[in-house]
Amino acid sequence: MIFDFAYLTLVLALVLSAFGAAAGFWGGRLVPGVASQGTAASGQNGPTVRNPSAAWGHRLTASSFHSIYAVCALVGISAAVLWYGLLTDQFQITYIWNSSERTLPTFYKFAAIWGGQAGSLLFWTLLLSLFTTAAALTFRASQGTLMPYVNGTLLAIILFFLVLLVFSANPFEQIGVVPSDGRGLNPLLQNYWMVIHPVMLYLGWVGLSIPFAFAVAALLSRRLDRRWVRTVRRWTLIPWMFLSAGIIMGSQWAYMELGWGGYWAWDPVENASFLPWLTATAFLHSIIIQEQRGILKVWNVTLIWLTFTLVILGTFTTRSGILSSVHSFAQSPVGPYFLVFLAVITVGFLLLLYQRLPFLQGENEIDSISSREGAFLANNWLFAGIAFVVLWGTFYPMFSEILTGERISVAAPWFNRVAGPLFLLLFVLMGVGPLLGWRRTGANALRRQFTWPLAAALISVPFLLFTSRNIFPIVGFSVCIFVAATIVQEFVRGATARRRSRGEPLPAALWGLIRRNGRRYGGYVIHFGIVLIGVAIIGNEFYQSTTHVTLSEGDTVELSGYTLKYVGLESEQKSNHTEIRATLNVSDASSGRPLSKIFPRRNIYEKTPDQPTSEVGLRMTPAEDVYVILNGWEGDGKSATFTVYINPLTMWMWVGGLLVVLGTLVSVWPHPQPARASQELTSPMPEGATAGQATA
Amino acid sequence: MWVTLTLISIVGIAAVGYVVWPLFGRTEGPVSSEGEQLADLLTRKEVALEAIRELEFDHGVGKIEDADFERFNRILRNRALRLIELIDARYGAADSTRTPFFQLSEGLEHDILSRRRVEELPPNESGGRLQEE
Repeated sequence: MIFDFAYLTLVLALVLSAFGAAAGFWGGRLVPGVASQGTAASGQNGPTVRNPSAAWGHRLTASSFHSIYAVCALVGISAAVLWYGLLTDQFQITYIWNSSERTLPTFYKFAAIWGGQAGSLLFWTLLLSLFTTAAALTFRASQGTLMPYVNGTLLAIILFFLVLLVFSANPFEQIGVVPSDGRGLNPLLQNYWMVIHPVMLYLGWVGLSIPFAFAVAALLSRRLDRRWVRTVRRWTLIPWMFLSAGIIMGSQWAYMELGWGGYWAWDPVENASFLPWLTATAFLHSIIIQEQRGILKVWNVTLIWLTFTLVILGTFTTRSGILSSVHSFAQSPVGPYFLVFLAVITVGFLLLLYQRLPFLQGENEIDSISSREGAFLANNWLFAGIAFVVLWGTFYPMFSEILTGERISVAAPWFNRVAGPLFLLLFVLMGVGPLLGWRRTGANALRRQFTWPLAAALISVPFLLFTSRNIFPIVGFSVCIFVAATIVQEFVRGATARRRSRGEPLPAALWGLIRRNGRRYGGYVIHFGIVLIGVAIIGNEFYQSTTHVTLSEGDTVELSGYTLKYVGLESEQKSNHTEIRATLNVSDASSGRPLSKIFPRRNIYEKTPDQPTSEVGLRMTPAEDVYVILNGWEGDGKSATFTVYINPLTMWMWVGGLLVVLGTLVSVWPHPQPARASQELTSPMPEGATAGQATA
Repeated sequence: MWVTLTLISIVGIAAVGYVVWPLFGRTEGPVSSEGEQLADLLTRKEVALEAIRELEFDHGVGKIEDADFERFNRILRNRALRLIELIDARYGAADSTRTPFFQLSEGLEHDILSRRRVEELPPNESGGRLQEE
């Protein structure tokens, strides 16, 4: 009964989101801000519009706000019911039967809502409703002209997901007979990183709908000045942070769970999350140029549309089964729905953009290529280039199958070879950009800014030559050192100037600098995190060593200065699986000094005994990881086969990921605002206008 | 089944009622076109002031040379000044259109100084008084 009720709440939410979307768009057409656009654009002092259609515009807009709150509550009820079903083992529900079992730990039962197709779509819809509600509550008062269209766009996106849930992927579908137990959650998903990582990715993907909705609203309302860009900066940074964290956590999951020695395989679904990250990162840089200089308006709305389209394309890729991946959901009928939705947003947006081109003229031109906006522009082209390469490589197998009938896979070496140099150039720009000022940086200033970072990079080269004769890691590390040096220089110069002016001790000056200029210095912290990630990638790509051995009890193997001694194998029964665990003693090969014990494992799940999962044995240090996979065993563990990897510098990838999150938080943290401009005005503002409108 | 239908009917009536209620209610205060235009102008002023701050910061840490700084600073300050003048003329006191230039200039300096006080930035050694172009 309760599940029928939950399904009907989704139907009701669908009806209300359709009504709310229509009310938002219609209301937007009638509100006076748009009606008076002509006078606003011409710079004349337009009158306040008060007429019956405007009144209806406001009523419809208010109704669209109410629709958002109602839809959010209804979707929340549905999700709560599904969680209740998962936690209480209601196996008469097909989704729960497919994704859970009685002995599944409660933690994983809770997470099973995003472990399958229908549940994850419901979870997505729930997050989107929550984001939409948060945006509605935040901007209702301050963005009077844009909000009707923002509401309409976001409710239309919610409507699409509700159509999927109601007509194609019903999470409350019931089986005629009640089974005694479920089929269990996919063993690969029974890992704590896999519990957190999809939530982070969903928060990122879903959150990027908000800046897209604002871009659509700006185009529809013709309010294409700098306000919408200033409004969405924070609302893009936060989803970007979640997306970054989700990608890093996914890499951690692949590293710990998939057991192939690496963390990124250019798998189609990994690429699906990486593509919108690339365009969103480009967008975050290019909106700064629009905000500062009033240029790149067409490029910015295109980038955010591209980002949203890539989110939907990625979701389509994951769920339609068109590209094979370890992450994919089973082939399902939702694919055609996604294709239609993709076509609608692409055609609709491009038509709208074409109509609004006259309103998107740049207000300035780039004064000089040796300026920060010049560097940002080049960075944008590189991001776009990398996105194109990744998109091409991801979908090439599909195109080749359509055109030639033969599926030609594009593997990691191709991506590394093609995207690698572009990333290197991007890193160079990441170092160059902060050294340049806005508008123009002259020759003397360039010399002053570049001397120390370049010197640091060049001095490092002879030392790096001791580590490898391969030119690629030497160049890669030198560029990383150059970027790190520019960041350190930025902090030192800023803090020194502050200390000089205020007489503060250096730590206080540094803290004050970050506190008062969070946007700039948060960005530098993010850049430093990316440098650390780059260091880890270079270390793994060029310095990794590996061996594949079979060891009897007491046997040892040596690799890259480590001795690993196989002690034995033991098994332990857990709630829903048997854990087979090998013990290896790790010691220093030259001195014989014991370093640690590591325990590579295999988990054999009762429901899927033919799919044992690998849990790697790991000794992680800042210099390198000793990473061991248990491949198999004979004679009750008298001998066992292992693959051993020495992965240099991998830890810095996770540290870098943490810094990216920390830097984003610094960047979005509100910093003290000066007195509002309105306070300096000598008379009250006109009705409906507040100072908050300027900076919300 | 009847219980489900009854429950969903109650929830449905409540939800639909909540959504359509504003259509029959009193209209909220409209957003005036003047308010929107003022908000635009205030945003542009904020951006102009931030651009001045960024320029001063970049100059302070040696990224902008003195000659470039003087030129860009003058352009940005004049832009901010024109915006303040425009805001004052349209939305200020009745006689604000006749506000003497030096008063506006002082207003701009006050804006920048208050911003600097709040942001606690290093002082700009070359950021002198605005010179009329």
